[in-house]
Order: sequence, then C-alpha cells, then structure tokens
Amino acid sequence: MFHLRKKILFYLHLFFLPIFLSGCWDAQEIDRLAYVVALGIDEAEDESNRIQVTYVIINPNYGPQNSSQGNEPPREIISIIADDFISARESANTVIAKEITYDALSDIVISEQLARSKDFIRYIYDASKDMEIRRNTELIVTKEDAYTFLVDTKPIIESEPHRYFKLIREKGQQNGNIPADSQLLYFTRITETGNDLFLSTYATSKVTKEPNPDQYDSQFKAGDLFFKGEVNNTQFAGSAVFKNGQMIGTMTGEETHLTNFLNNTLQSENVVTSLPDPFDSKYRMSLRINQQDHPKIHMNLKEGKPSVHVEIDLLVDVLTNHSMTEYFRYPEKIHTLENSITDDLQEKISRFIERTQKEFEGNPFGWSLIARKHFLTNKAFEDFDWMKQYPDLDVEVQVHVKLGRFGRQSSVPELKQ
Amino acid sequence: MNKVKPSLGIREYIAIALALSSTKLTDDVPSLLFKQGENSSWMIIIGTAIFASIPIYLLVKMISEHEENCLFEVIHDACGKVFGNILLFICWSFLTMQIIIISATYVDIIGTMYFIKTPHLFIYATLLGVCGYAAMKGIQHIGSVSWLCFIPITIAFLLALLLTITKGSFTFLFPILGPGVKEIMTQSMIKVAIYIDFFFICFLATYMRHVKEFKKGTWIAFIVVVFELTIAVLSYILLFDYKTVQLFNYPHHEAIRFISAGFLTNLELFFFPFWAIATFVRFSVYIYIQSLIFGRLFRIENSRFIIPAIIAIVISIGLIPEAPSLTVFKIHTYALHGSSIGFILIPLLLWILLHIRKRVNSNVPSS
Repeated sequence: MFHLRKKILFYLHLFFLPIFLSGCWDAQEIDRLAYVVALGIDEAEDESNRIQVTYVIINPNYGPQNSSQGNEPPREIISIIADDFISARESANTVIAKEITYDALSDIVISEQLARSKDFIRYIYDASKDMEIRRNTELIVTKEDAYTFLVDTKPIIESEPHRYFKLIREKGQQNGNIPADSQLLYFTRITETGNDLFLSTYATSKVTKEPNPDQYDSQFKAGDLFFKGEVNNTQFAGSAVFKNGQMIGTMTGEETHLTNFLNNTLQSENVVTSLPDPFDSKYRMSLRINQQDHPKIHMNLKEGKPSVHVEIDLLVDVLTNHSMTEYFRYPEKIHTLENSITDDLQEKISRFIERTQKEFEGNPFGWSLIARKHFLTNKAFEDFDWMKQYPDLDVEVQVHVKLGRFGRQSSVPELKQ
Repeated sequence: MNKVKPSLGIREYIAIALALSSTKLTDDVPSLLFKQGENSSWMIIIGTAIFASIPIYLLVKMISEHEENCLFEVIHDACGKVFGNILLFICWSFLTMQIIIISATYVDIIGTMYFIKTPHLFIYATLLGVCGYAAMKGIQHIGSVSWLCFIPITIAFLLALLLTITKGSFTFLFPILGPGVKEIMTQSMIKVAIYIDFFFICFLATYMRHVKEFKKGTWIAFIVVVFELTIAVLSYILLFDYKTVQLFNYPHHEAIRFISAGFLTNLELFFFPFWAIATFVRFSVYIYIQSLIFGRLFRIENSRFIIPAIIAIVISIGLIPEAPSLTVFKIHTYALHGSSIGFILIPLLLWILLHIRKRVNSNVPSS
C-alpha cells in the first residue's frame, strides 16, 4: 500500500517537473539588448498617417576606459517609418541585431511640425501604454526634424548622448532658460485637466547665420543665438507651448524664467538677466536674480470682474556697472537703481502676461491650481471654465526688489570725462 | 489531526489583518474610488471607515461575548443549523468570489506591469501554488510568516508613500469637496466592502490565545488600515492629479515607476518583492479561511486537503475573463457594491437574531 502511494507520487511529480523546463519568459540578458536613449518622432514624408521614428542607440563599449577598442562611435542612429513607436521597435530589429529596449530611454524628441499637428496627441499617448517608457521621460521639441536634430547632435567632449542630454538639460533648467517640468507626466496631467499650458523644452541644431543686434541675454529661443567656434551646434533654449496637447507657439528663454517667477510651485534661483542702466541708457547692467519666496497670488473670482494680484519677492545682485556709478557715496542712487529695476521687471512681467492672455489664451504658470481653491466642488470649477476666463482676467503684478551683493569690489573709480 | 489548537498572538493577528487590507492600496481599489470620488476619494476612505465600524463593532462584540469566541458558533446560535449553514454558504461564496476577482487582478498587475511575456496561466499557478502551500501549512505558520515580513513590508510601503508625497502637490486636493457631498456620502455607503476583510478575519478569532487580544488587535489593525489607505489614496492624487489618476489601472505601480530617491532610479524593482510577499500572505489567509468555512460547511475534518481543489477551481475561473484589465475591473466594481450589502447586513442580522434568542431564552425559565 505504502509502496503504491510512493509510486503514484513519483509519477505525479514527473508531471509537475516540465513546468520548470519552460524557463523564464521575461528573462533579458543585458548584453543582448540595444538601449535606446533618445527617441525621435517626425511626421512621415510619404504618407499622412504614419510617423518617422528615430532611435539613438548607445554603444555600451564606448568610454574612456576602452580606448583600446579603436574608434568606435558612441552611438548608432536608425530611422524608420512606422505606425507608432511601439511597433517600430520590432521593425528596427531587421537592421539592429540586438533586441531594442526603451528601458534607458530618457528623452523623446518631437519635431515642431508634428507637435503643431492635431494628431500629435494620438501618437504620444502610446507612451502610456508601453511599460518600458517611464512617465519621467523628458519631452523636447525641435525646430527642425527630430531626425536631423539627433543626427547633428554630435558633442565633441561629452560624446555619450544620454550624458550630454542630461547635462545640458540640467544646466538649462538651473538658469531657467528651459522649463523645469518638461516630463511626460506633466504633459498628460496638464492636457487631461485642460486648464493650463504645458511647456516643453525647445531645442535645435541649426545656428542662425548672423547676430541680432536687438537681442539681449536670454531673450532668444533655440536657433536665434548667434555663435561660432568648433563646437556642436545643438542648443537648448526657450520652450514650446502646448495647449490641449497641441503646440501653439514658442517662448524665449527669458519668458521661460519669468514663468518660473510666476509659478507658485517653483522658486527660481540664480537667473542671470540684463536690464538698461538707469544712469546711462547706453549701457545695460547684468543682474543675478534669486526668488526669495514663492510668489503670493491672490485671486478674486467671485465678485465682479475676476482679477489676480501677484506679489513677487526678488533678491537682485548687481553683477556689472558699466555706467561706473558710485553707489557707495550716494545712497540715493541705490534707491533710484532699485526703483528702476522694479519698474523694468514689473513691466517685463506684465507684458509677458499680456502676451499669454492675447496670444496663447492660456496660462503656463499653473494658476488653475490656485483658482481651484476658490471653489467647493469640481463641477463649480468646471462651470467657471478657467481656460476661457483667463484671457479676460485683470492681472496686477507687484515686484518687490531687494538689492543684494554688488560684487566683490563694490566701488568703482570715478571716470573723468 | 489538529490535536493542539493552533494559537495566534496579537502581533501575528495584526500582521495578518494588515496584509489582508493594506495591500488593497496597491491594486485596483484606489482606481475604483477615483472613478466617482475624484479628488475627494480620500474622504470616501474615511467615510466608509465610519460605516464599516458598525458591523465590525457588532462582530467583535458578538464573538467576544460568546463562550467559544467562534464566529461559526455565533452564526449557528443565531440562525440555527439550516439557516446557519445557508448563511455560511453565502459567506463562503462571497469569499470565493473575492478570491477569484482579486487573484485575477493581481495576475493582471504582474502580467502587465512586471512580467509582460510570461503567460497568465503560469503566473496564476505560481501565485496560488505558493499561497496554497502556505495555507496548507496552517494558520500558525501563516501568522509567523506574516509577522516576520510585516516590518520590512511596512517600511517599504511607507517609503514609497513618503517619496510619492514629497513629489506631489497639495493643491491637487482642491476643490476640496470634489464631486460634492452627496456623491461622497453615497460612495462611502456603497464602497463599504473595502473593509470586508475584517469580517472574514473574524473566522480566525477562535484561534486567538485571548479574546481580549482579538478585540484589541482588530481595532488597532482597523485604525492603521484606514490611516494607510487614506494616505495612499491621498498620495496618488498629490502626484498625478485626479483627472490623470482616473485613467490608471493600478496607481500604486504607476507611482513607484515614477518616483526616485536621489540617484536611485527604477525603484519599482526594489518595491516589487515586498509587494509580492504581502500578496502571498494575503492569498494564503484567504485560501485558509475559505477552506475553513468549506470544511465546516460540509463537515470535512481535514479541510486543508481540499485546498488544491480550491486552487484549481480559482485558477480555471479566474482565467476566463477576456481582456482582464477591463473586464475584471468592471466585475470588481459590481462585486464590491454587492458585498457591501452583505457586509453591513449579515452582522446586523446576526446581532438582531441573537438578541431575540436571548430574550426568548431568558423568558423561558422565568415563566
């Protein structure tokens, strides 16, 4: 009896053993994967409803340690026409030997042409289907084709593409020239609520042919800055403005950091800009602006005409003094300087807000979140229709400037005429 | 077989109760709330807790006042043999339904979020095979395992919540009343079955060393679960805003894919094993209680031997739905609403019947 039971158990367990023969379906060997770090999406030129998908695949053998490997390039680029960027992976595998994965994907590059089309939102939402694409992937809009941009981006020193993109993005976000929240999550979050504008990083690899005399620090977007030298031509500056998932315009680097001043979830630091010198209009002075506190935004949405009152506290360091003004001996001049900076900044911000009201008919500062506090239920807020109301809002900006440091040496010699 | 009655301490009991209920924050229960609750879903969690405390209070009271501290005896005393068995059968079918739906959900989570190419049958068989094995070992083993894993799992969950909240913005909670007071109240009423696990766990009361520990443990676990669920639902709103979170199937897994701690990215791979262990504990307890009720119902002395059969049935039914992430979600909504009624009514019914019986019995000797 006991013997029989043992026999039955033995044969039974044979039935279960083959389960382990099946192995692991999801096993992936890292040396058999091709890591896409940047993904470019363009409108296909031939047909209307397809897209051109460009992959930047990093070369894991590339690096300073492996100089014995010869002159292997840091990256490989392949561009194919496909229905979407999920299935494009499989098609690309007819050329690329390894399995293509989005695990290391950090940037999605979109051409301005595609971003401005109505269908853009259909293509980009595929990203929320695929498990390998993370919601913190950065969106970059390029002036030219994404393909051209990716091929032309050949940094000489920081030649690994993923490192280059990360570094230039971080620096740009730090000085406020490109938007701080350009990730996929923010795109979907803002698009789905439909109350604010989404800002995406704007970039190009085309340099303008000649300098623009009216252009001051950061009053440019990518492609407007004239420079020369033996460098990679890629520039990251300014932002692409999206309304309801469709690109409607661009903003300069200066406007982008003004956006940060006005957004009460952000606090800009070390923004360098320049304003006309109040003591000699020939010259401009460079300033470093630190935002002291989140902006104080008061809204009146219930009675009469809806209005917004914004207070911004700024600490301004004066970096240059080309008019050679002696501030140390004449304290009243400091007062004049302070007033002049306040007026200039206030005017700049007011003009910018007016532009968003007239041109974009929406706000990129996330003010709808503050407006939401004034309503009790979602329905009441939806009935108010913030996006429609914004262009007619009375916006009043008040800038409080506090002067900070005047540089290492605060006095300058008196110039004799 | 079980000569020595297995015993549970308060630590193990709380760990089991938390494994049953707090893992809900990781599956599709938050999405069920977001559909109607919008940005006030966290209030619904608190609202349901207020409603749920009535049946839980009645159950704890009835069990602790009964001389055998056993829910089976309470049911039999209250309803008699035939109706008691019918009621037990109803409880059993509720639990079976819940096991099938939730296991299908978990298999879908693993299949769509982590192991994309692995067949569903294999994930299902592994998940329930492990849980069934644990359940066959008995409640004492499950208790020790859940207590052993309790602290690491809790730390991992809290870490995930903390990282989510620090990335989020509190302004997303406004307009504070979300869909309106009326909607919040109705949702709190019909979603009360979020806490139905506290009903099933009462079947374990007889294994507690002291009835006082059962009483205390249930309330401690209940308060912690309410707190945990509220914070979790809150954190998803803070990170994603309600419009976006409404579109998600499994917000917890979206959240842990988004967050990062400094230079540490891809944190979901760190949280996944803890989550998987919590899931194993949860289903082991479910299957154990289910076999317990089944054994009692059909007078099977060694109810643990029917566990393999139960698992086979659960797997074969759980694999039926087509497009699981859509269908199972819909079925789960209906099941939750349906079991809400049972969760409120059954304890109330028991309590009333017991009361009437007591009156009748006390009247008999005096007359």
